[in-house]
This record gives sequence, C-alpha cells and structure tokens, in this order.
Amino acid sequence: MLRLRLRAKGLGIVLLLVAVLSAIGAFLAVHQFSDLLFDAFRDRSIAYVQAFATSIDPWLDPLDVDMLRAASTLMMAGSSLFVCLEADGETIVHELPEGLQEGGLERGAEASGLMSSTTDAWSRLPDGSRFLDVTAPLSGVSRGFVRIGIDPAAVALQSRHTAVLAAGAAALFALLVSGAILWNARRPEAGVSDADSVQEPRRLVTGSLAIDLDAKAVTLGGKPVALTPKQFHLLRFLAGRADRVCSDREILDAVWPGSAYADGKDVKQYIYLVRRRLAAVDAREKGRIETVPGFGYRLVSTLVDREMTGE
Amino acid sequence: MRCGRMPRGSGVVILLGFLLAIALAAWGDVTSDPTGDASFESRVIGVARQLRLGISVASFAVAAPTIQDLRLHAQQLINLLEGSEGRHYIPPEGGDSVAIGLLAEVASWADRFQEVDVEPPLRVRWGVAARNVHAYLTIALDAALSILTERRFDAASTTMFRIYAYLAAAYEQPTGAPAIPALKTVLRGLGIVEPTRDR
Repeated sequence: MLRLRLRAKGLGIVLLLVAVLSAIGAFLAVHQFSDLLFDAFRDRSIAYVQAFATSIDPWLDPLDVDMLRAASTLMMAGSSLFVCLEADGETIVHELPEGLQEGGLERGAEASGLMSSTTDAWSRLPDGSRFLDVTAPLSGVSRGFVRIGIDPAAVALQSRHTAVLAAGAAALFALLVSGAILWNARRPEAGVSDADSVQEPRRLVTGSLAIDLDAKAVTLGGKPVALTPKQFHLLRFLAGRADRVCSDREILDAVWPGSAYADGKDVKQYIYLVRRRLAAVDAREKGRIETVPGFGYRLVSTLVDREMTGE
Repeated sequence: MRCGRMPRGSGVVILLGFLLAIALAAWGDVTSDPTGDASFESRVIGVARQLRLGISVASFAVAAPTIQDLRLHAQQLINLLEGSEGRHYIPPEGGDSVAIGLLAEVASWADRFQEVDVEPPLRVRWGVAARNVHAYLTIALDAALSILTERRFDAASTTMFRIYAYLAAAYEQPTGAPAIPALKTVLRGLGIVEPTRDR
C-alpha cells in the first residue's frame, strides 16, 4: 500500500514536472519568436520608410507639393500612424496625431537637422500604445526628411496568436507525455505481477520445505537451513520443478549460466552439499533430492519414510 | 439711293478684317493641340501624373511591413486604375476619391486619336501606344486584385513588385521615376560602368 502511494506520488511529481517544463518551453519559444517577429517588423518598417523617401524623389526637385501630398496621403494607410515631410525647410505634410503633437517632438527637432542616415526608435503615443518612429533623410534636398510612425498592432496580434498556438501545443505535448508515462507506469506493474505469480512465486513450498525467494531463506519444518547462494539457487531450481527429473545440462544452464568451466562434477558436488545441509536439520530430508541414474536429479515433494517401507 | 451705298473705304476695312481673321485662324491652327481639344493634353498629363503616383505607391508598398499594408496599397492602386466607377473600387477613409480611373481614361484615347489631325502613321503609332498602356495597366490590375486574396506575405510582396514593373512599363521607362533597387544598384555598387550597347 505504501509502495503504491509512493509510486503515485512519484508519478504526480513527474507529471507536474512535464507540465512545468512544457509551460517553460512554450514561454521561451513564444518569447524568442516574438523577438524575431518584432525584429523583422522593425527591419521591414525601416525599409518601408526608406522606400517611401526614395519614391518621392522625383517631386523634390523641383518641388511638386501636390504630388508629395498625394503620395503621403496614400502612405498614410494601414500601419502608418502619421507622416511628416519636410523639404528645404518647408513643411510639406504634417499629419501628427494631436496628442503626440502636444507631447513634444524631440525627435522631429533632431531629424530636421543635418541627417545623413535613417534613425528609428520605439516610442509611445499619449494613450500609451507603442509605435516605431522612423525618420529617413531625403536625397537631393537640403534639410529634407520624412518621419513616419509605424503601428506594430498587426505584429502584436500575430505574436498573440502564436502564443495561443504555442500554449496549445505545450498543453498537447504535456498531455501526450503524461499519457505515455501513465501508460508505461501501468503496464510493467501488471506484467511483473503476472510473471511473478506464474514463473517466479515469491515463496516456494514443497512439503515441509519452504523457500522464501525475497528473503533468500530456506526453512525445513520451520527450522532455518543455512545455504550458500549457489546452493540456494540449486535448491530453488529443483524445487521449482518438483517431482520432475532435471538433467545435469538443465541444472548447469540454470545455476551456472554461461560458465565454460562448470560441469556434471560440480552438479554432483553441490547436490551432495545441499543434501548434507538438509540432513543437518532433519535426517530424513537426506532423501529429498533423489538421483535418477542416467537422467539426473529430482526433488520429491512428498518424502516416503524409508524406515516405514523398510528400505 | 444714298442709303443703298456703302461708305467710302469700308471695302478696305472689310478686306483687312477678312485677312486678319484668316491670319488668326492660321495662327490658332499652329499653336493649338493637334487633337483639336485643348483639355485632352491636360488629361494626358493627368494620366502621366497618376501613373507616376501609382509607380511611387508600388515602389514603397513592396517594402510594406505587413500583409495588411500590402493589401491596402493594392486597393489604392486598384482605385487608381479603375476609378470610382470600377467594380472593385472602395472609397478610402477620409481620402479623396479618384473620379476617373486610368484604364477607362486610356481606353477612351483610341476614339480621340481618330479626331486628331496628324499623319496616319503617327496616329497608328499612338493607337498602338495607347493599347500597350492599357494592356500593362490591365495586367497590373489583375496582379493588384490577386494581392487582396493572397495569404502569403512574401508572395504578395513579389506580386507588388510585378505591379511596379507593369506600371513602369506602361509609362515606358519614366525619367527620374522611383526605382526599386535591382541590377543597376549592383553595377553601381561594384563600380561597373553601365554598358551602353552589346558588342
């Protein structure tokens, strides 16, 4: 009972461990994937703004304000939160959200200086939502730049979907592993009990002879019999086949498995020793193991009183 | 009858007026649009500007960060090509609507060319050009429509690149138009002088 409880407790710990490891794995995978997703989004957003800056190049010299405004309007869709366009110190488009305008444009001031390369930074709108602030220089005009705020909402949504999928996958994984562990834990127990009850009984009793396989102890009429391990194995083997004749070969294979040196003489010697040990407890037990000439040895389950039969 | 007589010298005035009218008519014939319709030229210029705007949109849309952005830009191009009368036109939120689409406008050119007083070979050449522009714009429209249903981001981006190429072809290599980095960028990067003719 105690063993069963311990076993159940161990199994519970293993299952808990599997669940925790699955959750940690899912969390790390989502975290890693989310980072990759946002990095890719950042790279593409920078390329997007740079492409826009290049695409309006034909209308910068000479300045075609109408076309620049038209292109900026078309850019102001989807992920683009705002577009600011300045060329030759002139503000062409200034489409900042109200809150952001009031909140100050420190990056705008920086960008309106001599910019030579694209800059980007994660910023927050007054409502707290995050966006990628990208500023790219305009070629061919002095003090020209385009500043666009890109909303990562679509990527964030994709990241959330991935997290849900990963959590589902982790739960499924934990379920499968737990199922496999439970199945595995149940199966061997049944196997062992079946095998033990048929082939390897924990206690062999033949007449007054009792062999406790777990305690490796032999008793004869309740009295202990002192045996060496090899003698114990020999007696156990013969007792397991009580009343059957066992040949030298069978005994050698069972008691001296794989030995190239043991032979019939060793069997004979050990049979003699076991007989002596049994007889030391009860003189009548000397006949418990019989020699069947030409065939081998037999452990008899019922001893016939030699004195009574007159032998 | 005195009243039936014309004043003296009026014949000269009439003659001068007649000559002036002929001279003005001749001058007007030289300076006016060969199509005989002054607004047609401005409409062609309008198509050219719209087309360049389309090329601009396609060139930056190629690098759009999400497939949703690609779809939005594809819809903008559809609006530009089909106009507000188009089957797939969706008015932009708070944006200006496109009155007439590029496709319809270019399609109407064939009839207008018939009225142009130019040499027949030139008229034929313009007709071929208009048909080619229309064909490229039609292919660009098909590609833009395919983006609306495309689920794969990379495929949508590649299709947008194709739209850019079709629009640029419709314009016939626009001077100074926005260019998507391609072979020339590699040539310049390697310091290779662009070959002008095959040897």
